[in-house]
Amino acid sequence: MGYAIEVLDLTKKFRKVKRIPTDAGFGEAHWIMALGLKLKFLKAEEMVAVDHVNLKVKEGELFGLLGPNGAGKTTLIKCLSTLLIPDGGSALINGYDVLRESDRVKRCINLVGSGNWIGFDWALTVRENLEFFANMYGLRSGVAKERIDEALKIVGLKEKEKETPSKISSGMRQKMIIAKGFIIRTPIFFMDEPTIGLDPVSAKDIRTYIKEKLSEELGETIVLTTHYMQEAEQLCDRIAIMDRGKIVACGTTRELKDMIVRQEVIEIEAINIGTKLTNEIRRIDLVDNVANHIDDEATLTGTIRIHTKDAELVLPAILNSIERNDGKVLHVAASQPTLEDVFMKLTGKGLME
Amino acid sequence: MSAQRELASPTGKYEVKKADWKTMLWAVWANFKSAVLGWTFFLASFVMNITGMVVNICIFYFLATFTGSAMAPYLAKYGGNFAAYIVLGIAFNSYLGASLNSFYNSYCNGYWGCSFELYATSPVGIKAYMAGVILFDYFVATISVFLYILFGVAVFNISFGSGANFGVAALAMIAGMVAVGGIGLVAASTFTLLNAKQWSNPVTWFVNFLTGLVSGVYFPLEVLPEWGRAIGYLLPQTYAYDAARMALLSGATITNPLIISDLSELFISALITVPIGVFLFRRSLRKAEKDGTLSRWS
Amino acid sequence: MTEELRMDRRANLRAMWTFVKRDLKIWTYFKLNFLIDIAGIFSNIAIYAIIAMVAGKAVESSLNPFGGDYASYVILGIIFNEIMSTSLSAPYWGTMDAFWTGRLEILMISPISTPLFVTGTSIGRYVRSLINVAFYLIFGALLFGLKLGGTINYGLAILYILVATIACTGLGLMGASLIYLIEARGGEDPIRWIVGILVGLASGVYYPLSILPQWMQWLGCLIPQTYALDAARRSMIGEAIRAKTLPIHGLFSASPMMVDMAALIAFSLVTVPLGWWMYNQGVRRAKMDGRLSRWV
Repeated sequence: MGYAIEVLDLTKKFRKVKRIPTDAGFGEAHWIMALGLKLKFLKAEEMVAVDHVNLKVKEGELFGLLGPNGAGKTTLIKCLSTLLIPDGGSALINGYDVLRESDRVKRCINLVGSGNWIGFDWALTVRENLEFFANMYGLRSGVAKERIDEALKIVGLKEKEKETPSKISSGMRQKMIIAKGFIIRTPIFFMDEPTIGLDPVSAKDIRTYIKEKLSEELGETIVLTTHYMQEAEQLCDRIAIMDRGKIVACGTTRELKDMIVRQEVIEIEAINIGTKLTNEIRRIDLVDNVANHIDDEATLTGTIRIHTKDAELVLPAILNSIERNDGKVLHVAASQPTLEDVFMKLTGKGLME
Repeated sequence: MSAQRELASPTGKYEVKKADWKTMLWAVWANFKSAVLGWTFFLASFVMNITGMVVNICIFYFLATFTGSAMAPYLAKYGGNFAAYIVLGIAFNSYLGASLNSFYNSYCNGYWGCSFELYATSPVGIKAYMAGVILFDYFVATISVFLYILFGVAVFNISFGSGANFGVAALAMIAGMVAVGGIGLVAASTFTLLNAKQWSNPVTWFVNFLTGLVSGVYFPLEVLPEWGRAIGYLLPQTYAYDAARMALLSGATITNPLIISDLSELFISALITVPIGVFLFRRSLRKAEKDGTLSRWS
Repeated sequence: MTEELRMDRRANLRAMWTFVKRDLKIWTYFKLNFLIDIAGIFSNIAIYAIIAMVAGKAVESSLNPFGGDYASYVILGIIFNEIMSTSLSAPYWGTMDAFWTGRLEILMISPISTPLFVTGTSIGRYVRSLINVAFYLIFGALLFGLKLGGTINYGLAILYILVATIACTGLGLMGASLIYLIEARGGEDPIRWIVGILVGLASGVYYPLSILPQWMQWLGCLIPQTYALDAARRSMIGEAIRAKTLPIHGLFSASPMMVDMAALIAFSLVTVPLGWWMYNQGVRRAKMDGRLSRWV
């Protein structure tokens, strides 16, 4: 079995040019740019979104890209799906070069993104919108009908197929986006945070469909980006962790967790977890990493996860810190390392930060 | 009655304040400024808009020059110059067009731009938003009138009559704006009452259609058959244009019987259109609130 | 194992038909507004037709090459301009519509080709324009005195308009490319703006060029619409076929209609490849900068 996706040293930078208005009209600066002149005040800052990424995904693999917001996951996906032209490196999709053979690449890929109902027409019904996209991908009407019926059933939109997108909720619109992806069958499927905004039951059904039907039965190569570690653990054969444009680790869930096997993890649920407290805990001896996750901003109630080499030794000091900072401990537990812990070890911060 | 009312919630914990006139004025001004900034922010777009106005008047000037000699017999009341007639007609139509269209257009803007959701839950309400946008429409109309007349006088040598009466012309325009504004409110009410949501509605279409044909914007009513003139006399615009033109091109004063007749007709029109417009618009707002259609999304 | 997608000819036609269906559904979604659009056509013709009826004999001599009847002159001008302005603006608005609704990215990664994308996003506007033309003709002929006289050559008129449409499409692609190249996303671009000014002022839609100063007549000769209007009118209502009506006609010994056709072909040969190249450069630029969507 070969590789469905091969990425070699891929780089993508964005130039942020100051004082150029975008998205409307054609402002004065555009006339000047059109003439090819550069002005002193047009100082460009460069932001590296994808930084020399190397990756190989086997055929039929369900591959996860895990990382926080702004890690570069979407940018990488867009480069691989020909929506962005990379600034350096190369990528092969099903053996076709994304730069030189983009037309062939497009016949091999399917992409589902997140973002409400972007791309759908308000005047067409849910079903008509899906039929539109089925025709864009060359599906015959009989096949399209069958796939649309199946997709609507999987995402739970069958009763809403005659409604227009403006009359359904935002979660249902996200389901429309997913349904659109499910009607097309291609060797490679990019899914960019597909379950964002969905209720837990729907998200579970969709994950099951992805795993059992698309990956196991149809053998599609699926690249799934997410910042939900449970989703990545549940679905993916292998996972790459991405942060600030770089792949910081890549392997199976087991391999990634083994990177921090010698660490212990303390999880404390408390009230009044502030930045001051977190920094104080970081300074305690034998504490390797600290990340907090706030559930209630008003009372600063949340969870602190502490990586340490000796939980028994550091726990009293941590509890003292909490008390000194007027915190109140609700629950203390020692837990097994998760992918979030792996991420914390590799990057020094939490997945949700 | 106090301008400011405080409404307490059942728990007594929060107070909801209805906006006083100063706050309303501030909100209207803020929306107006925002619209002006948006219009002028991109210099090239702004220049294109202004140029478009000028080009429009040039086209009609050439058209008037081409056909003018045939029109002259019908223009005795207005000094006989078809180019001056048509330039002023287009200029005046900017103001009355703003009165007719801006209520509906501001409603469309608020709905499709999702601003209504925001304003409906604020103390100032959607009327502050609409008022700001309408004020902006009048501002643009003022600029276009200024440009039309400036261009007409400076480039095409259009001259006003000796003793041109700007005061009477302004009075005719204001009266016209009020009377046509009532129709504009009726048009705005169709957004909800008739589901006319896609930037056009039967009322403004119909009135614009009639205005172009029988109110004297592009040609005098005298060229029309009698039934055409009769329809024209039903529109407030007809009287406004007639009075304003006579004032500027023939120097007619406020004591002129024709001017008095035109202004009276405008006053009567306003007495009819404004109450009907206000009633229907209020009704449409209540329906929108009840149906949940102040926003695009359910 | 799933296979690569294939877009054969039938699939491409199905895709094209889907674009048309979608556009027509949106156009007719609000029934009242659809009827208002049709009625707007009536009022547009009526204003000029009334001016024409009054102008009557006074302008006949200026319109001899075109049969002398101003009502027919101006109504045909409006009809031909409807088609040409659609081809000028359709690529821009098709792309803009896809951009603002977020469909641009989705369509760009689908297996439909870029020419099909541009055509598909534009074609609904052409269909709508043809429906408008039908109404213009009906209203013009039944109510406003449109006289198709003497020696009518519909085929020739259609040919001229078709070639002009190709030339205008090239200009339209150039304008649409500016969506990407200079982010002209506010509803206007410099190319269509300039052409639009020249069309209104100096192409002969509303009045013959002979009434304009010489320098404005030469400006009119810089756009394809002028030649198309000139020749198509002569084909439909013209009598003095050899009369020279544009300043450029005086430079050549060939008949004015041949000069018009040569100019239109020359425009097409320049604007279409240039427009296509600019559009592809624009897409490439957008993919470099991450500007195919409103969100990076």
